[in-house]
Amino acid sequence: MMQMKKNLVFAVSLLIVLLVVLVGFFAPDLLEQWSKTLHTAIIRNFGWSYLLSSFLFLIFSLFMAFSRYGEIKLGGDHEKPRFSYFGWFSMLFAAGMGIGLIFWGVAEPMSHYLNPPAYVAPSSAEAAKFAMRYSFFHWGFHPWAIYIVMSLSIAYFSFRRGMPPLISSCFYPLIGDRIYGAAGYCIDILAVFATVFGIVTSLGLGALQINSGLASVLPFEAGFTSTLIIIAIVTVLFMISSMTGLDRGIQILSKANIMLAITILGFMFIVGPTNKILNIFISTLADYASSLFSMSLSTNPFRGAEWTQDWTLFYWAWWISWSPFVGLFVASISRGRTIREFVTGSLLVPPLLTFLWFSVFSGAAFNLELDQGAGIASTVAADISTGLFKLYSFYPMSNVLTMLTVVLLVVFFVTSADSATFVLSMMTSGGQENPPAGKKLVWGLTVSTTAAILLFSGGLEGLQRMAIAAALPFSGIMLLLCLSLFRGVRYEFRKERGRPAPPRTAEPAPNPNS
Amino acid sequence: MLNTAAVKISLDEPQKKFLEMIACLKSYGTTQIHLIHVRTKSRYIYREKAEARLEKISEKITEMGIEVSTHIHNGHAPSLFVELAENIRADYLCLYWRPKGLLSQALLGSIDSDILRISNLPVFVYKPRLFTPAVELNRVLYATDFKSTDAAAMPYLVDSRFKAETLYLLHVGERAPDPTSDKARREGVLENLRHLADQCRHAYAHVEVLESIGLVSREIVRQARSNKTDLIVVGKSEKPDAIARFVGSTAEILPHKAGCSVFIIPSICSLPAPQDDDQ
Repeated sequence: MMQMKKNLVFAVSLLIVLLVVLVGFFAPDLLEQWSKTLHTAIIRNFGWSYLLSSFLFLIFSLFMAFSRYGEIKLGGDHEKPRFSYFGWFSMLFAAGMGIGLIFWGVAEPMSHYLNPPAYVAPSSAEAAKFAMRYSFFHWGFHPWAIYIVMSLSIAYFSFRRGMPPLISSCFYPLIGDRIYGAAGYCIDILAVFATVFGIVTSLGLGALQINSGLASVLPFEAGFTSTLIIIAIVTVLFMISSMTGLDRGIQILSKANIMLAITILGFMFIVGPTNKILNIFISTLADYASSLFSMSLSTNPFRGAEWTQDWTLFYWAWWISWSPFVGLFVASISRGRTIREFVTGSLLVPPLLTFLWFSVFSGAAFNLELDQGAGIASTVAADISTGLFKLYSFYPMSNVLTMLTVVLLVVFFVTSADSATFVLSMMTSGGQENPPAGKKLVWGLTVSTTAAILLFSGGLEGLQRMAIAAALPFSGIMLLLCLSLFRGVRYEFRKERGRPAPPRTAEPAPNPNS
Repeated sequence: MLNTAAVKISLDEPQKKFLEMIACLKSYGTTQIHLIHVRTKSRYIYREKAEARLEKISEKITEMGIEVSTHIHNGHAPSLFVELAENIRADYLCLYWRPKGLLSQALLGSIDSDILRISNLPVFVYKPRLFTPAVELNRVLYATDFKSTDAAAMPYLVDSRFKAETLYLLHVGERAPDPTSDKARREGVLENLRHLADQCRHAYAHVEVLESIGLVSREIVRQARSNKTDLIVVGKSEKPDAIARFVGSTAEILPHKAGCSVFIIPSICSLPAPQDDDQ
């Protein structure tokens, strides 16, 4: 009975995932129809709540960093961080953005440039400026604020308060021992649901882009079989990485990847239109900073609302649905840092690298598009996954760049899948910091098989919409997380400061039900 | 300690219930009552009417063996009432509580709420019962926050005239962020409550300790209801936090929500010296 209860989250979430996958395989049209209806209803009726809550998360993150609570350590009072700054930033970036940034680095500004909202003229200088500003906005502070809320809560309640690293643990100040009951199970199951569907979609899209990249330099035609082979190879790689544990596998891969990414970035910066890139970078940074407030809360209700729904609200919902996975992972690598260090580090370094990435790649693409009519935007419009490779075709050593990018994609793919497998296993093992290998295997195979099946049946977009639908309850959960975390740190300051620190060990606090 | 009461009277209280309240005050050892009526109407004819009605009620109170004096003033009711009570050196204020609707409370405000907010003297809020008069105290609930308010409230609770069968000592706290700390917090709270209970045990047949978490005013009301208490005693902090400044302190909220009478003791109110008490 105890064993069954312990594995309840694992069994129920696996069952739900399998059910949705079965629907996606046997009746992809049905999944498409359901998910579309649900997604449209949520974005139309609750879209504003995504904007508002994301903005609140940013405010809350800044408050936590710069209030007196910023000095609280995510761990024991004298605990030191487990990972160096370089290792930490590499893993932050790999888990939080990584594969998506490579996918959208050229494609997103080009899409905005071609199809801006109704109040901006398409393919104009204004559209280019708008495209860069909104690309910064969609990948800047807000996604990281969403991740921070989740990971800060998990890190505080697990490493400082000695509870299991689960999202349900963060609700102890609000619901007490009920976190060990139905309410806690529901929160954890929803988190598993969002994580599986988020990672499957991301990996599916990543596999498509690897396929496009390889097809542009190797003599084969991109198709389902080649995508399947890519997924199979990557699965073997991430399962090997996953079995070696967090300390070695993911860290080594993330560091290697960030070095590779910086190398490609540096090459494109030096070989590309350096001066123009720098101009675009600082102008867009200023533009982003000055209009941050208005962009944060603008749903454009009078004109351009559909564009906001398709892009900004989609992204916000996506980041929120992605947050249980990134939050848990980022929490697990941030032990020993203070809240201030954690928030400022996460809010400054990954967004800065993201801004540089967008400036270099989109700057280069805009330079070619505006000055030479290179047709990158139209290539993106035809197939989003090929935008980056089209850009490379105008550069020296384009084949080498493409291969390096494919390697980068594969490694990001592996690190994302590896960390997702780790997080899923942890969430479904009652928050064990070293989850059993069997569960890692089950989740790894589930994620890969689901991605392959849905790529075949065409249900990937439906699944992505299901993940976004899960973001609605999750944004509510995250607002409550803010309240719970605030109560936790306030209690610590009011009642425990000046007293000997409570004993905190790596062992989770006892669960009265086990 | 509770010798002299300044009782606010608006003259539209049901006389029978009002006299039940006076009987209740008498049972706490009150021997002198100042009936204070603050008028907003300035026409003389109304003053005459008010004087006549006050006279009539005073006679009834005198018949109960209580010394009574009456005061009629014009002006801002809450501040005048509190000021006069301090001038006549009343030991406490007494309000006959009549609930106000949400809308009228929002639009017109409440004199009683303002008195609770500005008074530096203890305030007894009498809530009349529909059927049985609440003259004798059977069960009293004291909600403590283990702060300076205990020093002000405890002398009242252990006073021999403040007699009741059972005293409940309640602490409503905030849940700690994790189960281990929460267990330690709970043990600490129960230890403090037991310490308080030891100080009060001689004055009551039964003393019970209660520990709870949640919204303070809601939990006090819930515990008072489930333990069928006749009176809630609470302290009033002089340093309200930001939320309390905006929505009112727990002591100010309680009379609106509680189903029984409430005795509110501000932390700064000083008790009379023992020799005054005996006079």
